[in-house]
Amino acid sequence: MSLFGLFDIGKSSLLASQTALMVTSNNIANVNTPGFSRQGVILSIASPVSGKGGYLGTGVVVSGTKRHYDSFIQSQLIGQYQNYGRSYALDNTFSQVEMVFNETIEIGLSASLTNYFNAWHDVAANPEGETERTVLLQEAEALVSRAKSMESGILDTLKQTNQQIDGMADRINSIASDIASLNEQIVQVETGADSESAYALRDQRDNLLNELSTLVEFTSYEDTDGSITVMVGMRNLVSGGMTNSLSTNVNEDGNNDLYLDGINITDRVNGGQIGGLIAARDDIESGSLYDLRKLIASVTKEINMLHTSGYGLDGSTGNDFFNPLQLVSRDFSSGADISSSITDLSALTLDEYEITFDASNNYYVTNRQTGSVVTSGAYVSGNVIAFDGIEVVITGVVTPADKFSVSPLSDAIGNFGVAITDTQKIAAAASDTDLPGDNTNALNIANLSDASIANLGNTNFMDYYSGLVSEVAGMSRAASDSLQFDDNLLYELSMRREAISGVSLDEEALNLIRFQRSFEAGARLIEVTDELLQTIINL
Amino acid sequence: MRITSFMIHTQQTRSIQRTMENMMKLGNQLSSGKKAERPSDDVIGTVQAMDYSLLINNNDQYKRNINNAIINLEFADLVFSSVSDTLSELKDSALAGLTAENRPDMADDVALLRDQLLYFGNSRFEDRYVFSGFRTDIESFDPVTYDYQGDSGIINVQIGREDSLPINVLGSDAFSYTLTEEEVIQLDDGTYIHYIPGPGTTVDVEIRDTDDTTVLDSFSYSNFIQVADLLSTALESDNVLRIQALLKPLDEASEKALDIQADTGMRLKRLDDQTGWINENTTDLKNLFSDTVDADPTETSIRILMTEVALEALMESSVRVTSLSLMDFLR
Repeated sequence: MSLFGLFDIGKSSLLASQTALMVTSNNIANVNTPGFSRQGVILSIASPVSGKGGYLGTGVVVSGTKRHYDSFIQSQLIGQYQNYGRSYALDNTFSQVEMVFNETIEIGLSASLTNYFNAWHDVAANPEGETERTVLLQEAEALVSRAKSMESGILDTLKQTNQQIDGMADRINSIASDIASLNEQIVQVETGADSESAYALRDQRDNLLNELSTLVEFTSYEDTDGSITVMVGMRNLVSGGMTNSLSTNVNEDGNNDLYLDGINITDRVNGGQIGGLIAARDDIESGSLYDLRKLIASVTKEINMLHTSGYGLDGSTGNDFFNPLQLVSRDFSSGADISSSITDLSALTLDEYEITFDASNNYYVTNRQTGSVVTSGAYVSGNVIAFDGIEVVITGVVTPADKFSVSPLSDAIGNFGVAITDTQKIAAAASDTDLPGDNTNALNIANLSDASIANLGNTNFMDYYSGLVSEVAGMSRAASDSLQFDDNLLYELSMRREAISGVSLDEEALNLIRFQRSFEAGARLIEVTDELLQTIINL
Repeated sequence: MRITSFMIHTQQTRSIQRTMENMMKLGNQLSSGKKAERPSDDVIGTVQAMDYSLLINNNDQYKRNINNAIINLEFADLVFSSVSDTLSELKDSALAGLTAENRPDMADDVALLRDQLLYFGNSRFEDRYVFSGFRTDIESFDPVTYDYQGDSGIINVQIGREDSLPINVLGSDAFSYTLTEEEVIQLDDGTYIHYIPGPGTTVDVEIRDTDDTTVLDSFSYSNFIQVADLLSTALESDNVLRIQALLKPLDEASEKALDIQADTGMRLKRLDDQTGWINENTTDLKNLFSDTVDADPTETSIRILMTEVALEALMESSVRVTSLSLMDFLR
């Protein structure tokens, strides 16, 4: 090996140090870039040549750069982002509903419910009094408006939930198409290369996957060519450079269902914010909204039953105090129509019913709350089907796919209102011969507040409502606790990711010094070699 | 574990954030004076507080009912103390009438006393005829026949969860007689007077000769006012036998009036006791409510101070840690 070989060794040292300095600078520059994985140079010994003293080294080569990355932690992170997203959505939605029932600042039904029954006590104490009767009507109106604003508070939350699902579906589609295009770029860059060399693109894709996982639950796997397949609800969202669009469709209950590739995947999505929103929506509908409506329906039913039996100051009887309960029947059939009415208020269970048909033209009426069949028989168009104080008439041709629902609750709050306008018609008396001083009926109604109500599981109105408040508060509490938990777990995992992939400025500073020194040494080597050559030339 | 700048930064941000959150919660507690801002802050406490405030509210209602009952009963009590006075004046007149010479002259005075009784019987309070049962819109006693016109409606009010109490006094009871079986008295001259229970509160009186069969005179009455009216006519017509026969119902009337006063007195006492109990109970409930709901300002303030110290320490250490960098030592 000639003296010039020394130049080459010096050059290799300079180049290696320069590359290392570039990688270090890039790390420093990206210290705050989210999702950035730090890189390092891989230095190796240049192939030695055989010389007089045996094999001699020829310097250093940069054989590549390395991305500090742990795919196991990354996949754990994605799973945790999904949990976090779900908890976040649940916490957010439940705490909104909770505000509707915020009894700590006396927003809620308890005050107006108590005031209403107290107003009946006052009427009982002075049944002839015009003032007491007027106050009663005012308290009743207050109860009505309170119940209505609570229902609309819950309905607003549900509406927002559906809108959010819709908005998130759009965001998911845009993330999906970004992932697809990154997939294509990664495949291009990495074709022919040893392994995952498209670091920046992969970091970007991981970032998108992280964001996607806070939105929706998915599974993913990486193909050998480096592209990633993302599946939501067992359907492909992204596959290579292709995407399927996630869309929402309004279902029969007025809620947004998720469709991917034309298939309804609503029930298969549990994680991510969308999964949380779907779960929260279902919980609210079958929980707080249902219970609130049932409470109001029960108040309407019990008060009206007593009130219609009493007599007003003008001797009139049979007057409803609140607007009578109305059944809402819904028709999920093409060839048949339904009409329904309440025939016996006292027999009403305040449950919801579903009417279905089998292939041999039999009908089945199922109580949706208990799940049991309350009545069944052969279907004849126009015949009366009677059960639990309700009469239903279905006309037309039915098929096994047809379905009807009958609910005394859907409109219980929507239709809730004070039917009495004339104070004279408030039925404080139990008999028309004992007017005007008879307060028996007023006392009976006032005492309803303490009576156990069969439709409410033998609790009284206030206890049922307290149960509702504690259920709502408990759900909100549980959601915020699990959000806290998921947040901590997510933090731990991201710290573990950071420990491997994050940039430490101190470390990079040390690298900076280290490679600066090696660069200086390489330069010095060239200088020395030059002097050596000078010496030889000057011989 | 490798520690990176981002880790230090995140950890510090989270710690400061948590402490700030805590601080804000405490600040809210101090300003609102309440432990919980929303039900989920204290699920059990919220439901308990609702329960307490319902009970307090119910107690307030019972107290209003009781006050209303007290006013009504005190009024009835007042009326009956006047009724008692009038009845004893009637008794005096009757006794005087036995021996007096100028009976017809006394008749007018007695008629005035009768009208006074009628006035008491038809007492009105807050526009209601208080002795008419449920028929508070009509006069309790007919101003001509003096017959009771009301019904037997008892107006109850709730004075406790399981407690109700009638707040009215029925004219048909308070001004009337309850004779269960025939009673006979013999006067000094051997004349018999039979008091025979008739329909309702009616008492039929027969004055019989010494043979206890020949009916000399008969009349009937069903309430004090009618007795007063009978006395007035007996004086007018110098009918000493009748006056003698009316002495017994007059005595009974005074007793009855005293009974009614005793009864209203008992009820008032009961209401008084109930008020005391409700007040005590309400105080207990209010204390419980406050224990459940209210934040202790002293404790909250101390906790705020502690959090403040923690926050300061956190900030100080954050600044120290982040200002340390190897970059500073590069030349």
